[in-house]
Amino acid sequence: MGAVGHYFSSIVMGFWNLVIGLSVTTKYFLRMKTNTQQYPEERLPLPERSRSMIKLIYDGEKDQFNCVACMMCAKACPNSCIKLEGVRQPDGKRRVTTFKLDFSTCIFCGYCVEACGFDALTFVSEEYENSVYQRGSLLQDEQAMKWVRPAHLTPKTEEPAKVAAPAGATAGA
Amino acid sequence: MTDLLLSQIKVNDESQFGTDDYVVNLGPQHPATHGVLRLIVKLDGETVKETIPVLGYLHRSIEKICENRTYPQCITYTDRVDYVSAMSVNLAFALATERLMGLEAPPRAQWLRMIFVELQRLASHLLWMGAFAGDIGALTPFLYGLRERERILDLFEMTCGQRLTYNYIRIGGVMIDILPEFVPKCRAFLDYFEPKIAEYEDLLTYNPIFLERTKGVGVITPEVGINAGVCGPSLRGSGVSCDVRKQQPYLFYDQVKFNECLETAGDCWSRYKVRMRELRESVSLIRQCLDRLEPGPIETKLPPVLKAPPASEIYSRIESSRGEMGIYLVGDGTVKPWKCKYRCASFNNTYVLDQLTRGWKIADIMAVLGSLDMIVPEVDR
Repeated sequence: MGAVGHYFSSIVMGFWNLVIGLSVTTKYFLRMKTNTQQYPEERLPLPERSRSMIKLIYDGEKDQFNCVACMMCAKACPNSCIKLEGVRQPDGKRRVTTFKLDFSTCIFCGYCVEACGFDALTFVSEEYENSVYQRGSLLQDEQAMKWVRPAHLTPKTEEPAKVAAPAGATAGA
Repeated sequence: MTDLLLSQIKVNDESQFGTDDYVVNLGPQHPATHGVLRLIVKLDGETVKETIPVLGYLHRSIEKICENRTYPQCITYTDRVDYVSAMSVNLAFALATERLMGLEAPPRAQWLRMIFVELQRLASHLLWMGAFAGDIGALTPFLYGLRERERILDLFEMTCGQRLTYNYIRIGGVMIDILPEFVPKCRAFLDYFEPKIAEYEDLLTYNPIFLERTKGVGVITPEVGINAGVCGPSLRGSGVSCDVRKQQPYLFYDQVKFNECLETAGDCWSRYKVRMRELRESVSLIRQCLDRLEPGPIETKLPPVLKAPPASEIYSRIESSRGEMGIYLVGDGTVKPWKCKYRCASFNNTYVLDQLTRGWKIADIMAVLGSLDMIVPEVDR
């Protein structure tokens, strides 16, 4: 054996391992099946739980937002990007008047949606193209976030709220 | 005029006419540094004389931010500490807070946490494999690694709705229960994934070019590794047993069977092999966890306002994909941590870089840096 034998055996082994590696790539080359999706033309449906965009649920029948301005979402937000105000309506219930969410600082952690006990905030999975040309457009108000739940979707039936609603707020809408 | 200038130059200075180091800045914008890491490399020809990592280009003061957030809100920031292995950092912080407050998650939540952390380890190692091979010059494994990583991220997105910053593992449990179709999909993925590991090995492990670039390069001896605080797969490549899952079991790691992957050589190739074997171990771990998963609650009942006991402190550690991930918390009886410190594996692993690269060629820096599996946001925090 010796140095000469080692020299030739390493050439043979190196060549053999190159062939093994190339056989893997050749296998996929001949299969002609791609994993890449051609995005703008070919769109995959996102999972239902996908946290794409936050929307403020609007009740079409009662012509009002579900939000009662209890401020739980604003307190839960780690970045304080939710600003909202509400006034007491003639029927004695608080309703939201202005709701502003700054999506430039929102990190889509989902705490606001979890904290909401009145089925007023939700994630919408299909609106994932959220780029804008101006930074100011990311500050959305209640009209931009207005979303009427389609008839085939049911409201979430899990536990109504993980955080206890503050005293005085009226449950339900 | 010329005489005047010449008179100002001190001729006796060695640096004027002697030899000097050739100093090169690698980074901060360099494709092989995995982010914004700057290395000041002193060269003699092509041989490295000294490597000085300059940190701080990605410093976002997450530790300080966490001191101004409540404990649940901090979890959203732990996603950004190590974004390639966000579940591990989520778990580290959740476990530290639970230990600080004397809480415990229900069994189902613990099994779910194990499943997701091990899936995250697969995803992290796959990305590392691709990036490491890419640093060395083999660009093909990157595509293969990311192909399977996509499937793991699909599983994550199906469960918690995000692909990178999950915020899934919470204090006292997990965010939301898995969907009924998760378990069959996860099993199908594992069956699909296990033969693929052999494919990666075919592509890389005994490839002659890969062997030349990695075997014997950047040897961490056990003494150097332990003294520098190297941890995780980088130290296990030197044959030192340092897996926190074995040494100090958390969750239900004491109830499942898995081997600690050890190699003895301590070079880049050993660290590569350790991670490749960990892929197989993680697959078997996830299978065992899926078998043991039973219905039950996923969250303990938390008090409405989560407060730490006054004058309490905790150091809690887990084995993240990169090594020991420790969280040091000091509570002062309020809803916010008084002090929050992350002990990140990448920071300590970067420390040893200078010793490993001395005497090697400049191209070997990339091999060593890649094999240490560092994530710059975790170093800088």
